[in-house]
Amino acid sequence: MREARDLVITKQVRAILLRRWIDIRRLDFGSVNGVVYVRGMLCRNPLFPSPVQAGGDDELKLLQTLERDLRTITGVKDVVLTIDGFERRGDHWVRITRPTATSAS
Amino acid sequence: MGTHHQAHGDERELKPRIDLFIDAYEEALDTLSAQAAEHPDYADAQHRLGLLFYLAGDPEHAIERHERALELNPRYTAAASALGYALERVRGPEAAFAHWQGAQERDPVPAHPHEHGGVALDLALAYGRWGDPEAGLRILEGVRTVGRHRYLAERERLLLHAGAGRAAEARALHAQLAGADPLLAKLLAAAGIDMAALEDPAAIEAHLASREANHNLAGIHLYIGLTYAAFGAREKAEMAFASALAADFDLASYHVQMGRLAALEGSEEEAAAEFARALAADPDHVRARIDLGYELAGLGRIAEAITQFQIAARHAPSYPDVHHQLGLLYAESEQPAEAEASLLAALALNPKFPLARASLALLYARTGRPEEALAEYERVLATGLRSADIYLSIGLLHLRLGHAEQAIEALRRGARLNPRYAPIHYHLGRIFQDRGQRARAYASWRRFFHYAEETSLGDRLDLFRTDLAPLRPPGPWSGGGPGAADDQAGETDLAA
Repeated sequence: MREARDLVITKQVRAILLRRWIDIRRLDFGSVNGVVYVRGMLCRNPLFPSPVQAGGDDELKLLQTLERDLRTITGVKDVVLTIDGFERRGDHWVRITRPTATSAS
Repeated sequence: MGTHHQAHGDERELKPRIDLFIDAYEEALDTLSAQAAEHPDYADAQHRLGLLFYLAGDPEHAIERHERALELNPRYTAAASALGYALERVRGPEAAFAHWQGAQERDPVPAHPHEHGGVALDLALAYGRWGDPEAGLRILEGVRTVGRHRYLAERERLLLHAGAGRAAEARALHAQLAGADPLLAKLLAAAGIDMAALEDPAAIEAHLASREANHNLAGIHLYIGLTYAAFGAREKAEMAFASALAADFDLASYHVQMGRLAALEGSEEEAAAEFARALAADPDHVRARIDLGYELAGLGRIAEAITQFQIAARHAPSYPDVHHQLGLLYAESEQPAEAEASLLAALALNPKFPLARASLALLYARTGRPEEALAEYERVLATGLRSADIYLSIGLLHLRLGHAEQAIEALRRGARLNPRYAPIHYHLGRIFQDRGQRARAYASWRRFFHYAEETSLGDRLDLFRTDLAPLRPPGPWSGGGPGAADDQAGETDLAA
């Protein structure tokens, strides 16, 4: 049985999200059968020193990095990120809707 | 100083507080005002805005916000407590006193155990500050406190005894508290409450005055500690947590923060020990119990982890994820009936909880209930959760039930969703092999090898090569030979 591994993976997912300064309250995340699912809005913790600017490339880079980090967790077979406003096309993440928040000037 | 911070439950409150701490009042106000405007019926946002006004020296606006928070949630103990301090600044001690008395009479037993004694402590402290420590002591006698309020109540008792000139009682209580808990002894010393201070009315008065100046000092220290922790500055983080503790005596939260610090550093044993200490200080601290459960599971101590999640589920019965994690632990310890009950409890609380539903489907699949598993997977897909692995599971269940065409269709869907998910190609290959469709089997298995090398399956490839060998057609693997034609057949097959 691998369910407790799912629980341990979930703990590690949480730690990675926190280390990346991501606001975990806006996300549903967990692991089922070794597959990590992260769904919701990708927002930085408000105290992040260089806040991601909506509309900038930072969010795309963050998604790329986050996916890579999550795949390094022992026991993870796949990572499924379903993030509002973004879509994975091939090897890259693209924005599929314009951000509603105003970019910092 | 930097303004960095580790995400945690109160992070939206954090930035304004630290902004305030570094005199960035306008920025803090903007953040909290936006939050309050975005969620006008969110009592906590109103309360936090009130705290900000109070800390920034604007008690009149603080009163408005705390009153609004109490309109939204009349049992909001922290807002009732804070409103008294703001009233004291604007209308004097009598107004504060009357407010706290009213709040205590209206709601003598607050909804949450952690808030028991909250307003009573304010009242007791007020009596002490205004020259009637005996009345303060009488109030504390009738109050049942848990967690941080228990320690705060002990501190107030010490101060009130000292303030009443009863140094002998104060000394006896100090010896009793410090003797029972070495950490508490350090805290008392750090807070400036030692034997000498207890016999010095001026020291007691100064102590009370310092807390009156900023009753959120502990929160500021805590958040500064979290900031240091996020940067890996452990010693500074520990010092800040200790300062928070000295200001507020919230032992459980202190240990929780130390545990999270250890967890982020990968020290599971140390983290588990800290969470256990937090629970020793406050057995009702649900977050500490959940964190302890996670660490114990990480250490492979599944039975102990189950116990922690069971207690957490009793303390927080309406929290679906606790039931979900408990279900996973039961499944791990081969208690499928208990696992099913826990997962169903999670889904009863939140029928659209996709991960719990996927876990339930997986449990059914693994315990020989393919029809129920398939029905559950249909519900999973209806929530919008999908992955190649889910389609793989669906395909294998159909295969088990003899539905070969449906199995192939599910596996194809999975492969289209994520062509890199190697296991799906392996199983497609097996199905095609069993059906005598060698070209398709070969194409699927080629994909399997290609993608498996990118994943953790790479080290198991030799096992699969044994299966593939008899299928391999003569000629090159790619190019103009038969392999290319087979591959094309496979591509067509996948695109169907």
